[in-house]
Formats: sequence, C-alpha cells, structure tokens
Amino acid sequence: MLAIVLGVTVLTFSLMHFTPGDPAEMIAIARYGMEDLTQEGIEWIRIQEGLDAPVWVQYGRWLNHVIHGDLGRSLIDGGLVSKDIMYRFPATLQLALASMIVSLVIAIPVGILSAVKQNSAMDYLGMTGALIGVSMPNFWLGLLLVLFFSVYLGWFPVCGKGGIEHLILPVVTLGTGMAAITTRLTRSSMLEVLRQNYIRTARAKGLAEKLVIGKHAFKNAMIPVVTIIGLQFAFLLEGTVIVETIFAWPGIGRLLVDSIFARDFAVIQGCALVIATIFVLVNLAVDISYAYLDPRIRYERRA
Amino acid sequence: MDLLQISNLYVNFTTKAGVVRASDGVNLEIKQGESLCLVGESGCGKTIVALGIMRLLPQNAQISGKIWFKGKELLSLGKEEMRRIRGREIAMIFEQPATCLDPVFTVGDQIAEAMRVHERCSGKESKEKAIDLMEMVEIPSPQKRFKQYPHEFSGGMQQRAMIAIALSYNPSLLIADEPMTFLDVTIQAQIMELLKDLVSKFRTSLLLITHDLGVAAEMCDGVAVMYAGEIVEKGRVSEVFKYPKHPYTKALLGAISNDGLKPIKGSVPELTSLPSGCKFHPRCPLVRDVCREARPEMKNGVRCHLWEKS
Amino acid sequence: MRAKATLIITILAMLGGVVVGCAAPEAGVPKQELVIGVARYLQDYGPPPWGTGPWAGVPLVYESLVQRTLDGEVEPLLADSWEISQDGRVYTFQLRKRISFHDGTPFNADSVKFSFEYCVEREPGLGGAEAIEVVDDYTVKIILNKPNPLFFSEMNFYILGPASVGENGKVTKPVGTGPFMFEEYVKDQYYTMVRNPDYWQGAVKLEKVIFKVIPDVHTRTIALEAGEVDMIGIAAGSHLPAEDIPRLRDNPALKLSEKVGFRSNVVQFNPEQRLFSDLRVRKAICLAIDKGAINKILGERGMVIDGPFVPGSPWFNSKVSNYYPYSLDEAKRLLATAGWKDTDGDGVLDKGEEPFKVTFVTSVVAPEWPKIAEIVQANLKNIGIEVEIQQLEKGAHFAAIRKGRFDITIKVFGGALPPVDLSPYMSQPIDPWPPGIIIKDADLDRLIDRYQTSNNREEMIKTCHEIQEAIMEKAPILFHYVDYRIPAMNKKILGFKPGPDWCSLRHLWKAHISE
Repeated sequence: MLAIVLGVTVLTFSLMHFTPGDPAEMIAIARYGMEDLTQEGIEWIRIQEGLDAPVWVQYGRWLNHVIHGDLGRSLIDGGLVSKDIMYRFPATLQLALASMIVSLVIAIPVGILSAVKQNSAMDYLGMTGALIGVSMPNFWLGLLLVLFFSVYLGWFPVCGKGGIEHLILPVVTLGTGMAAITTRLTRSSMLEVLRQNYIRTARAKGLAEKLVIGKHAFKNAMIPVVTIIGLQFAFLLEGTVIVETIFAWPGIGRLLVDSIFARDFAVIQGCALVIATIFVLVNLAVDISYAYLDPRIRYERRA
Repeated sequence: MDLLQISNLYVNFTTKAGVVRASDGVNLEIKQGESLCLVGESGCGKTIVALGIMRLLPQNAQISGKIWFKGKELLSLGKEEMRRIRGREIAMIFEQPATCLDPVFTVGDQIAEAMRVHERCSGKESKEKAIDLMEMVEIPSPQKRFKQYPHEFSGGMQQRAMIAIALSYNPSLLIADEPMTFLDVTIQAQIMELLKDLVSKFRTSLLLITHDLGVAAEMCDGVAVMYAGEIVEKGRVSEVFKYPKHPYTKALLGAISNDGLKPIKGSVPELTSLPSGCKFHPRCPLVRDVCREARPEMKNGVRCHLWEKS
Repeated sequence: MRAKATLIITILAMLGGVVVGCAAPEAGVPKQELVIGVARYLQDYGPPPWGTGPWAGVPLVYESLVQRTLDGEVEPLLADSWEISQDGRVYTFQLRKRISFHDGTPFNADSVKFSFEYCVEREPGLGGAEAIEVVDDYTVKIILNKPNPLFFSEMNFYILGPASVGENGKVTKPVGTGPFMFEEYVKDQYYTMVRNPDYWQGAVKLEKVIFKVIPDVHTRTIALEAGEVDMIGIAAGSHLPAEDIPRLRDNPALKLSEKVGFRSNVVQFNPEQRLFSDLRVRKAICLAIDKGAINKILGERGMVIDGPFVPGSPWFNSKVSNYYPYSLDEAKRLLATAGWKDTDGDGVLDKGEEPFKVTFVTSVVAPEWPKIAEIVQANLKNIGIEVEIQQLEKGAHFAAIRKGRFDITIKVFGGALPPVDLSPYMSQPIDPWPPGIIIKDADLDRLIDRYQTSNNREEMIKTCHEIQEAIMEKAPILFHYVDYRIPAMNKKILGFKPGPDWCSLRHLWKAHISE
C-alpha cells in the first residue's frame, strides 16, 4: 500500500518535470503576474526555490520533508503545504460526501423503483431524468442552478463556503450528475437480480414483495453498485474541480489544478500523496464492503 | 374431493417471435395425499403449469382458466391472499438448487425466514425450528451449517435445504420441479428417498415435475403426460406405464426401456407455431389424415384420434 | 488499524469543517463596506518586486514614490517632487513628510532604501537601477547604469514598512502607507482591509473592503448581478468576459466604468521561418487579416491596433493608421509576385512542390487566443495558405516560443500605457521576457536604442513615430491588439475612477457608497 502511494508520487514528480515549460517562469507568473515579468525575476526564483538542481535531488528533498512529517512549502505563496491541504481537504471531503449522500438518496430508490416497475411511466421518467443528468455538463447545470436559485429566487448564495446554504447548490450540481450514473446502474443491476432463481424462491416462500425487493434483491443488486460508488468517490475528489471553481469552493481539486498550471511542485506532490492515499483507502473500503455484501468473496479470502 | 383442480389453463406469452402458447388448455386434478407426476420432454410447458399454480409467472404472461385449491380459485385471489398461500399451503422446490438459494444470506436464515414471516415467531424460535428442519432433511451438524452460506453447501445439501424451506410450514401441496436434475446419481437417489419419506410422513400431496420416467414410476400414484402445452395422457402410474395408449407416451417409454437411448423422432415443436390437428402428428409413427386436421379430445385418459372410437 | 484511524480523523476534520462553516460571519452589510469579486487568492503578502502582481489589494495597502495618470503622465505620490540629472542617470526624490506606516513607524528615506533593496534582491536589474543613496531623512538618490526614460514605468516599487518582513526575508504581514490596512486573510475565500484612519491624503470614506475569491469568470458576473459582490473586473486575471459586457451594460442596477488599456498583445511571424523571409509574403498576410472579425471576438474588451501604441495619445503615429487595410485582391497579387501559385488546384498555394502550410501555436492564457487563431486560420485560407492550429498548455506555449517552434504565434507584448517599452522588438531584447524574438533588424535596433535611452520627451516621441512606421513597413507581425479593463460595479458606488496599469484601485479611497 505504501509502495503504491510512493510510486504515485514518483510518477507525478517525474511527469511534472517532463512537462514542457519552464517551472520557474510559471511560478513567477503565478506569484507576480505576467505583464511586467522579467527574466531576472525568473532566475531569482529558480535559485531561491532550488529548481536548478537535478530532478532526483529535488525529489529527494521533497521525500525528506515527507519523512520529517511536513510536506514542504508552496513555491507560490510559501505557505506550508500540509496546512494548505489540511485546510482544503476537509472542504472537498465535505462536498464529496454530501454529494455522495445526495446522489445515493436519489439514485437507489429511483433505480430500484424503475427496475421493479420496469417499462412503467415511473421507469421512463426515472430513466429520462438519468439521461439528462448524465448528459448535462456540471458547469452548465451549476450555472443554471445559480441563475435560477440565487439570482432569480434569491434563495441561496451564489458562491463561497459558509453555512449549509452554501453547500446546497454545489452538492446538488455534483450529486445529480453522479446520481444519474448510479440510478442507471442500480436499475440494470436490480433487473438482473430480479431475474434470478433465488428471487423466485423467495416469492415461493410467501415472502412479501417488500421483503423480496428490500432484502434479497437489494443486497445482491448492491454488489456492483458499491464498486461504482467507490470509484465515483475517488474520482469525486478531483472531479470536484469544476464545481469548486464555479462555486468558489476552496477544495483540493482546484488547488491541484491551480498548482499544476503554476508548476507548484510542492503542492502538486502533496495533493498527489493525499489523493493516492485516498484512492487506496477507498479501494480498501470497497473491498471490505464487498466482503460484507458477498460472502463468496469472504470465503475465497479465507481459503 | 380434489385438493387441486386445474381446468382449462391457458398461458400465453406475447414475444417478438409471436404468441407462445405455453399451456394450451391444461386440465389436472390432484387428490388429498395423492402424488401426481407431470412428465414430458423439456420445453413442453410443465414448469409453466407449476408456476401458474404458484402465480409466479413473469408479468408478461397472459393466463386464463381456473385453478381451484381447497375451494379457492387461485387466479382470482388478491396478491396478499395468494402470498399467504405460497409457502404455507403450497410450497415449491426447483431444479438447480445452487441458483435458487440467495448467495448473500446464510442458509439457516433463508430457512428461518419463511417461518418468521408466516408464523410471526421470534428470531430465536425460528432458528430452533430451522435447525430441527435441517435435521429432518438430514443435513449433518445443522448447528454449524445454519451459519453457512449456500456456496459452502454441496448440490445435494442445497436441495435438502430447499426441501427444508418448502416443508417449513407443512404445506398441503408440494410442487417439485425437476428436483433431481443436475445432481449426481447417488445424490439423486438420496433426495428421492428423502422426498418420498417426508411426503408420506406429512401426508403432503405432491406434484412432481420430471422428465425422468423412472423417478415418476418410483414416487407417484398418478401420472400426466404433457406434450406441447397440453396433457396427452393421464392415469394411474401402474396402468399408464404398463399399457401406454398415446403414441407419445409409448415413445417416451421406449426411449428408456430398451438399453441405450432411442430418441423420439423429430423434435418438440416451436410453441410459437404449433402444428394443426394433433400436435404430435409430425412425429407420430401412426399418423393418419384426421390427425393433421382435427384436434383430438381427451377421452378415457388419452388425447388421440386412434383411441377415440373405442 | 492505521487506515481506520485516518478515516476517523478525516471524518472528524470534515465535521469540524461543517461547524466552522456554520460559524462564519453573517453578512449584515454595514453601509460603507465594499465587496470586490476577484479571481485569485493572495499569492504573497508582499508587494511584488515588479508590476503590481496578482493581488488586487496591493495599491490599497502600499504606495509608491510616484503614480501615473491614465495617459501615462507621472504624478507625485509619496515623493512630492523629483529631479533628473542632465545625463539622465541620477533621480533625486524629495519625500513627503509626516507620513507614517499603518503601525505608526514614520515613513522616510530609510524606508525607501529598505523597500528598494527588498525589490532589487528579487530583480537585480530593476529599471537599470544600480544603487540607492540616502541623502537626508527625506531625500533619496537612485542611480541608474544608463539613462532610462521608461524608469518610472519600470521602477514603480512599493514602499513597505519594515515590520512587514519576517525573519525568513519574506513579507509576513502587509504594512504600508496606503488608505487601507490589511485585516484578515482566509485562504482561498476572502481577504479584508479596513480604513486607515490617519491616511495622509485625506479621509477614507469606505470602512471596509472585502475581496471575495471567485475563480470562475461567469460566477463572478452572476455574483455581481445577484448583489453578492459590488465590483468586478478590476484585477489581473479577473477581467469581465467580453460576452457578459452587453448584459451588464443593460442592467439598471449596475454601471461600467471607463475602459483602461492595460496590456498589448502581438500576433507575430517566426523571424527564422523561411516561408516568411519574403517581405511581400508577410505584407500579403497582413492585408488578408480581417481586423473587423477580430474586433468582434474581442468585443468591448479589446481592439486591434496598428503597432504597439494605442491611438489617441501623442505617442501614436497617425500615419500608421490602417496601414494594412483588409484587401484579399492585393494580398493575392503580392503572393503571386512572390512566386506562390496554386498549381495543383487543391486550394493551397505552392511553389516548387512545396505547399504553403504553417502552424499557429497558441494557448489559453486569455480565452480569446484560440478564437483569434481560428480567425487567422480562416483569413489565410482565403489567400491559399493552410494554417494548422496547435493549442498548448501555457508553459509549453512559452517554451515553444522560446525555442522558435512555431510559424505564427500570439503572445503578451507588454504594458499599453505610454511610453511603451519597445525592447521586445530588438534583435536581442534586453530582457528575454516576454519570450522569443520578433524581428532581427539592425536599423530598428538603433532606433529603439535611441528611444529607450533618450532623456528628451520630444525626441522620444519623434523616434517612436519612426519606429512605428518601420515596424509597419517591415511587417514582422500580423497585428497588435490592446486589452481593456472595464470594471463593472453597483450603481451605489460613487466617486470611483480606475487607475492605470495594475493600480485599478489606486483611487478607491475617494469612493463611497450612496443610499
């Protein structure tokens, strides 16, 4: 697990250094703007930030920071990267978890209902909604929501981080897009499960339809859905970039993208480290929930 | 009085390929304590009849006719009333037990579940009963097995568990749909013994669906032979198997009686395009002109023009 | 086990985020409070050593020795007068007295020296300044290595209080002499400034200025329309999108300020590209560019200009006006005389088996760059030149320019406030930034050298008129265009005039909010 995380950081580091463009120049632009930039200023930054050293030396320095428990300082504003990330990461996590919850609250019931009432009006409505949700880009949906709910109705603030009211629009923007995917998956998985013989057995036993769907079909149908939820959550961490930008949400996705454009290696590395760790943890969580949902996997593990 | 009486059961499915006439006017009766065997080649509609009784047919099935059970007409019952009959009054076991048990719940839970629902007994009570049932169907060390999942059971054990589920509420009628198919021969014999013992012990009526005439002869009192959605011959097992009347029955018996298989000439017709007249006429060695034109009636336990006059 | 602990910590941290979020201050807006929407967060507390950098609040906190008007004229600020020596190398400033920094430290010659050194450490060549001398408490001399008429535009360093700089040599706490005092910075969300009660120029009317960070350009516009911010479009990287301007103009609650040219950009040929070595070819291309179409893309936000000077000032030579009128016939004729013909009838000109195919390298430094590239592509197709557009990331684009890996490209030229620094037109630019060379021409080098070292305004203007004609005639570029900054604000803001260059908010202290 540690090896995966370390590998990711090595990869990011080398990728960033092989990217065309002079890092010192990009950092200077990010710090001081482009119009009055001078080459001397760029050279000063190169020396100050140690960008003149070979790549492996730079990586070694960074690793040294990690070993000593901090992640170094941002090349742009000189702030501690660990502080930056600890400030931004909870914001993204908050956004991601809330969106996740919203998407599941929408997707699972709609997906199940659509499957149970296959080809009914309810099913067509749900699937049309999901299709719209999948095809509507986040930035477009976000701006529409802002125009309607903030400018026209004045219910929610346009952007920024604050109380619950600030969270609603970004979460709805992110959550509905994700819900669309999860709804479709839940529906198809449910349809597949409902065709299974054990569902017929459950009915033959005289179980109420509620129990057949809610217990037997649900738990089986959730197995593939959990995988997608895990994947979605991991992607959410960076996928929030657009929503974070539109709603001025100080999250880690935006931090990463800004840092990539500015070649702020320290921050990029920090983000890569955190995101890799999260990926690994989420995968672990998915595996664990798999084992909980599907005893066959538990059995194989033991054997 | 008949425990179950099926009259004129028609089941059609509308598919892209046309209308599938899976059950084409089936009439059947089972008396209290009697065991009836429904035989025929696969695809002739046996399972459809069974699922029709349980009202577990897919939603696109069009059903007509009457199914009387203990004085109630099942097809006109409300969903909730029907649910109370399922598992309680009529239970069913299926072929391929491996796919019939929910893979993500323990076997014990699945046995106890029905009891919890029908008898509203507590979890502990239902567990005790479930273990008793497991003992009854001869699952070894039921305490341990209770907590295991279906994939940890062998095929035979899985079918025993299914039988335990089916008998949990001591139903009046047990429908067993090819319960021995896909099992090893030795296991088949064991399951057959078990079913036979339990049926006689609980005095449960049995509707056994099988293509295996040996099993039918071993287990049942009555037999009904089904071909392409209709019953072509019925009667006591002893009589029908000894003196088969319908050419199809004869062919079926011929297929197993001599050593080695002697397959019946031709194949089961597509249910979307059934032949006119007697449905068996394209394969019948004794076919005559009338067979191609008129559909024979069920008379004296056989549906055949050859027997109509006598 | 460790994984579980991490998970718990992150969940706790998240809940903490919610609680802190809920505790954020309610927006009960007192009267004299202004909210400005900006794209970027604070990158560095300090004043930038050059330019005014990306955080828009710099001219509110810090001030420089002199300031400039919208026409590029120089006015006193912290220095009330100055003298330039005969040889143009020594600048002597008389500083204003009785000014103090926000922390009470008096402003004097020592603080100028301190600030000068802070900046020179970061940019040693600053405006050609070599040394600073404290003559007395309120007199400083800055000595240049050679005369530089552009000194005031290049040497606009900010005066920072000694308390600003922390132990690491970086500014940790912004302390200046400006009308507002830095109050609070919540990273990536907002930073605030409060009025300096003892501002030396007079009473500051606004009590508080809040810079709200909104990275998305459209969200910023919407936030202004929804009344969540009072002003947008004032800082680097925070410009109004051209397509939103008409809508804002129609909104009765809002007003747009006058536009200020702040940056010029150039679309240039690669001087090393053999296909462009023939002057007739370059001229033909200049003639084929539909400036009207490009102006349409730029909208109110910009305008194609003839050469590096914006028309309207005495620095602009009116003879270069419309030097290359849009004329496809003339363009085709010139190409034909240069030997380019479409012999195989594929719509692309060729000469001895070689088709006229070139690349236009661009990036999204400004959102209109790729659109401009597309218009150039369409325009040149009309005269039989095939253009392939290569859109790169910013850093890669600059690298490509530096290595000469382009045929046509677009780049930032520099400021638009006269006198404009023309050194990017030299064969060996004094400063290799902006990257790349536009033209290698000894005559032009001599003229620019004369312009950049003159200490006589009349001579400078005359020379720069000659330079403009030379640039037009030699055609090393397809065209220049100027970017305008147009601040948009709520009508309740009165008395605000934007400053030039990076100092949009220089005069904000005079503004107030009405009923």
